[in-house]
Amino acid sequence: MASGGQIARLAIDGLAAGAVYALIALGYTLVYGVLRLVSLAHGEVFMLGAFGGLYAARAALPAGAAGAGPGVLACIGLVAAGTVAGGLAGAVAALGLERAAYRPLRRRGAPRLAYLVSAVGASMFAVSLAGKEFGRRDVPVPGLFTDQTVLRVAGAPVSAETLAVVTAALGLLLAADRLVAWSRLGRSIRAVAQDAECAVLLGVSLERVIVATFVLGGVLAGAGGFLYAMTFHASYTMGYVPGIKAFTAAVLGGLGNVRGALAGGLLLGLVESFGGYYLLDAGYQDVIAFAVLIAVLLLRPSGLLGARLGRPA
Amino acid sequence: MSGGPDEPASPPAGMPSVAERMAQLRAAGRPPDGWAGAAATTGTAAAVAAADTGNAGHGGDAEGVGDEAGPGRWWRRLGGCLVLAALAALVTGPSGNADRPLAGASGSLAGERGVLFLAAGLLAWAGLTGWPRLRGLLGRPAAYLTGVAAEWAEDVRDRSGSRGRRRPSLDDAASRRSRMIAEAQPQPAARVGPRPPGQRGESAHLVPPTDRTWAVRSNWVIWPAPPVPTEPSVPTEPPAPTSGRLAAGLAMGAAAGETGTPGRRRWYRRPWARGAGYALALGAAAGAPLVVSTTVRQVMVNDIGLYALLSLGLSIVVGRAGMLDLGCVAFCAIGAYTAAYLCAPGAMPWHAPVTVSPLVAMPAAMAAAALVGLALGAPLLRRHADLLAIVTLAFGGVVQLVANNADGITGGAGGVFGVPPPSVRIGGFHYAFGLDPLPYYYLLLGLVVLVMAALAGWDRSRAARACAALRQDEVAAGVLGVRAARMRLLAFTAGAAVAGLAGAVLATKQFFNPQTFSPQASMLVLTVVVAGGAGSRLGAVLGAVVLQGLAFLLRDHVPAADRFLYFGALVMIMTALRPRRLLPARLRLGGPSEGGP
Amino acid sequence: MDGLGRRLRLLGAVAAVAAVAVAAAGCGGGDDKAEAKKEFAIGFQGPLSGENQQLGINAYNGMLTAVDSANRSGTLPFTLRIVASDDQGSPEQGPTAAQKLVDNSRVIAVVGPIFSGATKSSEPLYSQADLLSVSPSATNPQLTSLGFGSFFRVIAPDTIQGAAAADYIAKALKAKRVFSLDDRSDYGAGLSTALEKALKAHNVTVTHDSVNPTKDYTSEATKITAAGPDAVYYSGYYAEFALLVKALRGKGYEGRILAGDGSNDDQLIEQAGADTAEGALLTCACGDANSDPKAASFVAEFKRVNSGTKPGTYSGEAYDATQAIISVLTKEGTGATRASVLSGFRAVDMPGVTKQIKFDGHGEVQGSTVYVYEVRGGKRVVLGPTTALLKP
Repeated sequence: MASGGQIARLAIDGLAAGAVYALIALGYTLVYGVLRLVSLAHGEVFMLGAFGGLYAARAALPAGAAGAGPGVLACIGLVAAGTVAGGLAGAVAALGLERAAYRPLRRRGAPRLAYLVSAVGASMFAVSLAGKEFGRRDVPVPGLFTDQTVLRVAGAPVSAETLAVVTAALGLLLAADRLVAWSRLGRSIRAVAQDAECAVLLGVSLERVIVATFVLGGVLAGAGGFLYAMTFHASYTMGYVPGIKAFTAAVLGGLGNVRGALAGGLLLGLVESFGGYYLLDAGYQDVIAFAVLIAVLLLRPSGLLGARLGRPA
Repeated sequence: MSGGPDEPASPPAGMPSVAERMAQLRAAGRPPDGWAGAAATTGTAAAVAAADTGNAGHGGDAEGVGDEAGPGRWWRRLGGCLVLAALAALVTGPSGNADRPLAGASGSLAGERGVLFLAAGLLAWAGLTGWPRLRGLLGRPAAYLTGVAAEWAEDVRDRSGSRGRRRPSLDDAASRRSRMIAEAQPQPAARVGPRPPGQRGESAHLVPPTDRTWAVRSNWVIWPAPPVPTEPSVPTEPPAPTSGRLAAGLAMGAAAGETGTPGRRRWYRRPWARGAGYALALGAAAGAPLVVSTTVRQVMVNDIGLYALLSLGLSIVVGRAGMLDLGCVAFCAIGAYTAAYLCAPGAMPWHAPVTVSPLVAMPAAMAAAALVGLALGAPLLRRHADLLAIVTLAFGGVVQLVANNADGITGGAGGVFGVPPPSVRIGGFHYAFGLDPLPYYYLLLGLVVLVMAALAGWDRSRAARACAALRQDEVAAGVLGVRAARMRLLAFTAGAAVAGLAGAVLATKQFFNPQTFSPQASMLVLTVVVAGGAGSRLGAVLGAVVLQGLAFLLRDHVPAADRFLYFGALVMIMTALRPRRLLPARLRLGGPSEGGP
Repeated sequence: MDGLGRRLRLLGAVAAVAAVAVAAAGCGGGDDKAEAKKEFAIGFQGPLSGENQQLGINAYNGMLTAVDSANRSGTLPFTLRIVASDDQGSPEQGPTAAQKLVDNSRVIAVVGPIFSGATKSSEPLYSQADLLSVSPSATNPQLTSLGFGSFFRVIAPDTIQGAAAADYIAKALKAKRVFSLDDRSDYGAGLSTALEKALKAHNVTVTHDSVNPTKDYTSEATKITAAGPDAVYYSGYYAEFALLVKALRGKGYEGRILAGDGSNDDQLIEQAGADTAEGALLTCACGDANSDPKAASFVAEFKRVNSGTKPGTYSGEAYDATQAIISVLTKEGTGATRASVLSGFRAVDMPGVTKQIKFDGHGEVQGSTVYVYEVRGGKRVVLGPTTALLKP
């Protein structure tokens, strides 16, 4: 059973899922690094981003051309457009979340519990609103690809869709990593994560950093939402499971560590893919992420790479 | 701290002085920048407060902000009002679907509806902006009434909250002290009249313990404390009233007598009035099912009673220990399956060697849920209490999944059918519950009262004070000998046990399957707890009665699927308006030092 | 959703008004007579809101059609009315919804519940009240063996469908190796168990697996492709089946893909895409009234009553269930009680739109046929009953 082709297949599946987890996980990690807060409604940002990208792709793709299979360039353009629109929608959602659920509390110096409760409320609200406006069933992204194999890696077929997802996600992750590492904004984010008080004394605008963090996390999650929806359809409840798994990925890599979230996401995708195939009954695949989460919290609470963006955990 | 009109002008709580604000920011590890800096330089703390209200949407009226905010704030507030009005229109409007995602939105915003909600938004904005002036016009009579009402509401909340008895108040001393300090400082807009409802002691709470040496100093706070400041109050240095209260709270036993300020003891505060109130409420609760139809009785059992029990359980975790548990229904599931395992030989593929009566199974279900809570909480709460929310969320999903998939143990997706209803046999008297909801109602009522009584005991216990101390300042509480992890674990386990009890009742009541324990049910319980006031015993029960009762009454008018839209909005608004109200009065004193960002 | 609910209420109101008007006219102007005419109510329990409301609405519309045409016919000695009770398809809401109907003394029989879970939780109440309940759609095999005295259903349980699907796979498709996948739901597990049992009897090699409803079927598709079966049968609902079909075709699986009645919905084609879903086979114990020439008059009547809507899944079954109840009521006349209707219902034997309505001792309808549908060119096409497909 453990042929090379099989392993390659599982690895590809794992990478495709893991890349999306990593995109969401970055948002958790950034927000946790800056605010020391688990943004419980982050999965909903992901969901809203998926719908944003989906409708953009629908608008961009003329209805008649759906079955015909647009050309390669058109495909790339559509994926790019959907990803960008997803990112935009995610950014708007994250911004709205920050303004509606977090900012009023920050202004009132609320206890941490209030942030969590407010986020849960925002999450309930966003899920139901999406269900109300977009219908309560799966919505497919218009058929960009007619599932053809474009590539073979070690004997395993890779569909165009998977290729597009992995490429786009890895590109975004790389860009985010560089942004945090090199840009002025990234520096201020890291500075606030390390020592907010000191950073502010040195002239960093805390408010601006918080907003930027949410927007950055929102863009990544929203784009991830669109990429996820390309394969798995969009639906109003889609944020729940990937949200928890991405959080696991963030903890796995070290909550507050950007590279950690990246590595954690990919690793979790692979663990799930292989674990689901070799270890467990397929029904328990979702338990793997939870087991990983508990195991990491018990054995190595700072994650594999340590919490480097912020203070040590 | 009465709100009577004869009191001298009290500082509006929404408007801490600049010094206080700075101290608060410093304590929060968040020195002034941006907005706070601007506020500091202009010396208008009210601007900060106005920004608060502007962003909180509905928050304005309750916060009672002065109208000295600049026109920029007005515009921003207008924008907020309009956005909220649009959202409200969307929420109550028609639905869209996947193919016409804009149909719902355009249907909600077009035509008369749009105009109506636009008008409502403008009205809200006008109200917010004009409220301070309006209040001036209404004058003292209205102010007196609101004052009394506010005080009364406060009192009820305190009673049902963690505070079993009125204690001679260091609160009072502290807030009076800080009020004096605040008065000593130049106030940009000193407001005449009582503070608006729910503003009690906010000014005191805004002041964090800035001085870590208070633990030593508080040793000479002798109980009962004299109503004079125990430390020199230097106007420029904000005092640390919470410190005294914390230590006093820890030091004193539950036996502290009723030595409250005489002025506060109105008739409705006297023990006989309270006793009569409780008796009346209990009588009403006991009599209510007799005058309604069986359908309503079903609702009272399935939707109200069970959720009241569940939210009492959750209120231990959320309201007392200040943690968020999003998997309380998972413990309910564990209780339900345990009960089925113990008392129904045929219901599940795997069952206990002996069959016991459902009433005996209830404590066992509690114990099982508590054990699982212990097993989950012990490793987690030692270091990762802040991650509890999302871990329990995942745990809830996993429990549901396992209940669904472990065919050989739980019966899988088919659920559990045929758990016998409880029966009572005392001597020659034998009574078996049937399909009639009435006996279940009384069983649940009894359990709810029992749990409430137990919680009342808890709230007077050392554990409650330890939790309060923890919330206020973990480091300091640790110095005083409170073991954070242990206290949190205790609360979490207790919450799990109560949820398990609810599960056992559910199991004996009716058929259940894994879908019964969906994460949505946990969210509903959380909504009930937040709506009722997390630390309040009566609030949890009333929250269940009001929310679930409304859901039942409006079931033909509000689509069931949209219910969570309103619940989500309710939770957000409640939290945004009163972030500290999530915790009962005694626990609410935590300054921003333990808060989030 | 609000709109739908309002439409439903409106329809109900219109039907009631029409019924009264027709009754008044039918009695030749005797106003006092019309008022004295006895009114019976038939209850409806099912999801009229929530995620699964479409199935409830389909059934409700079918019931409305039957009641409306009965009232219109003018031959009844009483008038009929519908009392709807929404259980949102969930077991928790079931007892409350059922109690509402039990409490209403006018309700003489009930059509519903729609879902098996809600049936399990509500049926004890009906049995205690001797209130007849006829489900058009609860297919869980267990239901008729739990001792509910007043439960009947006009649809074949999953065991029948599973056996018929197995016949079809083994004899018509001539598959040697079959991969049976279920969604671990009550429904899916029951169906796949019945299917596998029958397949093994045909000496077909069966691989069984279960996956909870999820979005990511890639690893499962990898597993299935590696096993290389001739056919894959999915026991579950269309949203997941669409994703599964996509994943399987994405992994280059070439064999036949089948699914049970839970996936028998046009949404399947929309969600999987017409190209991907092409050739997928669906089994269902439900005939398609729209394509059945014998049901043409029902379809026309349905469209008239429901302002042009075509009958959906379970509309025909609900119509038959209501017709059966009305036939008993007609026999009993105005003196009918809950108990007399219940005892009279056991003897029902009448031709229905979907099948002959005749019950065995457990309340199971006899002689149902299982149909096979195929997705062709973006549409579901009825291939015919399995029995007919086996012959050539």
